Amino acid sequence: MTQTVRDSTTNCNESWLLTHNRIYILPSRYGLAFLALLLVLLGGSINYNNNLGFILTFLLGSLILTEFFHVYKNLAGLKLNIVPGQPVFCGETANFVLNFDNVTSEPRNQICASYHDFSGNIRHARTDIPARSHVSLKCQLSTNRRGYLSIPRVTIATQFPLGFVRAWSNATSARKIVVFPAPLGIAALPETISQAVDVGTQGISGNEDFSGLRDYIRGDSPASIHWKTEAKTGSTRVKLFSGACPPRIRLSLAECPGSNLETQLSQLTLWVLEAEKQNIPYALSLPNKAYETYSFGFEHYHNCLQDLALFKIEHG
Amino acid sequence: MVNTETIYWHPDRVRIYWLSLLLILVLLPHVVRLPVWIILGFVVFAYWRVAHVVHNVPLPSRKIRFLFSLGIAVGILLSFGTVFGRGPGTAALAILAGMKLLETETLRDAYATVFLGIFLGITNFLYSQSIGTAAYMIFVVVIIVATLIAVNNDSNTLDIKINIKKASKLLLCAAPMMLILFVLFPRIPGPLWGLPKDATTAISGLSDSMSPGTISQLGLSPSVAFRAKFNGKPPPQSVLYWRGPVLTKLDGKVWTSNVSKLSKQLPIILTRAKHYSYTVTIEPHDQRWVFGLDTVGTVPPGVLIDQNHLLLTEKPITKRTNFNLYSFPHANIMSLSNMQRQLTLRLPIGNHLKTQDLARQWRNSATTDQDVIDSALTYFRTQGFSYTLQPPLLPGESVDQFLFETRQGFCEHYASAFAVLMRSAGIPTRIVTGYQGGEFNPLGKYMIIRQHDAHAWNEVWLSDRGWVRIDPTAVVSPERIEFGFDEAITPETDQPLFMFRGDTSMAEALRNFRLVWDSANNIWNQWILGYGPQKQYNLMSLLGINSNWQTFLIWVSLGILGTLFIVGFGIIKTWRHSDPITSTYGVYCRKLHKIGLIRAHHEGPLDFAVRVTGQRPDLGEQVMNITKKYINLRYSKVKNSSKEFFMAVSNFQPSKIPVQEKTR
Repeated sequence: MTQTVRDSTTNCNESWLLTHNRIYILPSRYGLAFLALLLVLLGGSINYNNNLGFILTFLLGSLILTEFFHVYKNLAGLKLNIVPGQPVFCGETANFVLNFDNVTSEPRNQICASYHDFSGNIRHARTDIPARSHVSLKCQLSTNRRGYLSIPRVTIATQFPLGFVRAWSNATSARKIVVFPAPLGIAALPETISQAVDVGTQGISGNEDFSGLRDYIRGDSPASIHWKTEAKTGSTRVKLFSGACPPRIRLSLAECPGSNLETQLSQLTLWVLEAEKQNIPYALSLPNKAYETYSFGFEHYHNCLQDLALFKIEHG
Repeated sequence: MVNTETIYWHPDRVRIYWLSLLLILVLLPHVVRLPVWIILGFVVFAYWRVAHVVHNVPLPSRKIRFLFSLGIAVGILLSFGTVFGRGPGTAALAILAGMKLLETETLRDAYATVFLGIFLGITNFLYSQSIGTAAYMIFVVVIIVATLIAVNNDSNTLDIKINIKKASKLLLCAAPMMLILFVLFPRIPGPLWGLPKDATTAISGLSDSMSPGTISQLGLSPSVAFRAKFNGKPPPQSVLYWRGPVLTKLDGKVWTSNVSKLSKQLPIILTRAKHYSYTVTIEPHDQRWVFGLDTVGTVPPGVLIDQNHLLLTEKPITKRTNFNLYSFPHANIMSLSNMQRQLTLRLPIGNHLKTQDLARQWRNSATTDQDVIDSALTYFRTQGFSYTLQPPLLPGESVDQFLFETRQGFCEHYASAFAVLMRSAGIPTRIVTGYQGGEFNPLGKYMIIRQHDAHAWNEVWLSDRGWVRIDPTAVVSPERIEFGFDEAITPETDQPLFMFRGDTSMAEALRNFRLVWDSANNIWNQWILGYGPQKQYNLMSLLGINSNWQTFLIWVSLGILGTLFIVGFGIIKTWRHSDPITSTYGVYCRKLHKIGLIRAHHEGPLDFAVRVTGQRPDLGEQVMNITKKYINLRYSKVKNSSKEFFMAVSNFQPSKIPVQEKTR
């Protein structure tokens, strides 16, 4: 899909600059084990009065002390933003993208992003970010219900270089991914309404024989655009086909078979897909929906699916 | 775009290579010290693991690994008889490290292997703390850190060169902190718990008994026995008699020392004329003797003196220790108890009859004790005696054989024979062992006394002068006393391979090199290895922070924290000021941010400027100016001065309310 989907949250620009008041640093469990080892070495050096033993112990101790700064430096100054991905059908994998922007002249190594899936599984990704460059991490989320899918809190952590110290920072995005209901049920479309009485002036056309061109109206299928005139004149024209009065479908929740709301919504979703596939104009009728336009094409299709996804779900 | 997936740590080839290299390097100096089967076992385990990653050879199962561990435990018990102590401990660590490498599957295992490697590395210092060992261990530590980097990171991101460079950089950052900790970390005199019996390496040196004639070749070790630094000019070679154990009892062929009462009180000595003050630094010899120049005129704190005027510490010297002493080279000891008189006259009954006859002859023709002594020395000088380090064995009556048959020997033979002669003539005599001479190091201005400077001489009691030193060896081989050990050896027969003797320039250069090297060693010993509670205290006194331990601790903490922050700031600041142009552009963006014009993540500088101009035409000129300068500096091939850009940004003061709107 080339068109971007805009929902109300996409416009706000969420980005984080990782600075000292966002970064937490603590020794990792290997760091604690290493400290225990150093204590043993220190005891041994004191006991044997071994000055080279002292030197080695202190050198390794200084290594872990200075590693706090190295680890901090590896994370601090990094810019991060989170972009939610396209809407998906329930059961598919949803995506969001972590954009790292390293504006400094220091390469960042082994930056690990991790987040909890809704099922509680931790997912990780690890990447290096060279100096003055961007890296995007595509993060995946599994979906199990329609509606809004919140982007989980993402932890950005690093243990580079030695793994004894871990520095991390959290980024919580307010943005959401829309999850459409899963398209399930009977594929066969319900009966079409062949009367064209209450069709507006849109000139819904049959698709049997070519009969001429008319001006483009928003909502027309890209497949019906006459690209040759577009190229010649710059005005967008749509091919007209003559034939029987074009059939239309009214997809109504009230008349939809199904034991409960969710199966009904799934059925409606499947029909929207089918109607779109067959280029049959369709209208979606939901109890809370005021308009019922017969149309097809990407925008109509998407609006319908979004209505289905968010039906009876609180916004936000 | 990088996809997320669960990161699996895998013991891949690169990581196994690093771990193996690390363990091989820490084990290398141990090779000669450990039983062969330990080394073989380690090699088998390491090779097995490498074969696994290279040729996919299957690894042993858990059950087989358990059997290995069992075998190792039994093997160590059989080899050492114990599992405690330095030897079996090191052996167990070595073979366990091999086992750990073999079974490394997870990141945790890998860290455990590195930790075992570090532990094995530090055990090297229990055997040697020389400059060479230290240099080698610096290299090993770099490899340890590089291994940690390889283990902790995706191995495809770092190659060997970068890895080693990175490790060296980390260590350089850690070095100042290490230095501060070494100097300031409160030192307490050890040991915390009992040292195992084998904590120190057995050191060959003097012993408290001697039996001339049973050894046909004297071991000549050039290893350092102790060093002495004189305040002022060192005394001449001929008075450099360093007193060691005094032997009084002759039992058959064996001379031993008697147990004598220890005190802190110095016995009476005569003639306090010229004296030398000096510091001896004694190498650990696992005995209590402190070698002082005859005749010692002080008993330093923590040291006792016995009736034979030998300085003794309370516990065996197991580490390099300094003693501040002063001596009167021309003084004699004036004490002789009745018990001592009897002891120093006693001879085994029925032995050395010929010798006793000779001594009695001299006694009868002499008027004073001095005459008898002179007769004996004349006998040594005129009767064809010679000095050699390879004397014939004396299986029978050793002193008789030596005096009347072989007439070849070294100091022990002469001292022993002289003592028997004197005692036969009724003069109380004892044998003093110790060191004679020493090599002056002009570089460090100190004397080096080596094991081959070991010597034995006599002391006779003359009622008017006290104990007088007689060195019969000096009569036979005056060079031995005048010029030291090196000169006394005749090149044809006696010169050992390691001696640098002769007049060639090559020999001279080698000799000089040896002195420079010893000087370096001495500095190393005094300042690195010798840095302990006492030196720390002195240093703190110098800085004036020795009043009590609380202030000391405060200063120590301040010093350590201060260093940490200076180093930390140095590490962090590199990125802060890395690019002034980017950071200045950031200042400009923040100024716009304040008035509500926020640059979107995807927005380029020019797009942003166009949008700002659209929203706030009053700022347009300035914004465009700054943006053009920024783009020029950033992307243009022509290098412009960045000064104007900085000026433009600092002069840029956007107001919240558009200026023009007010006037409209």
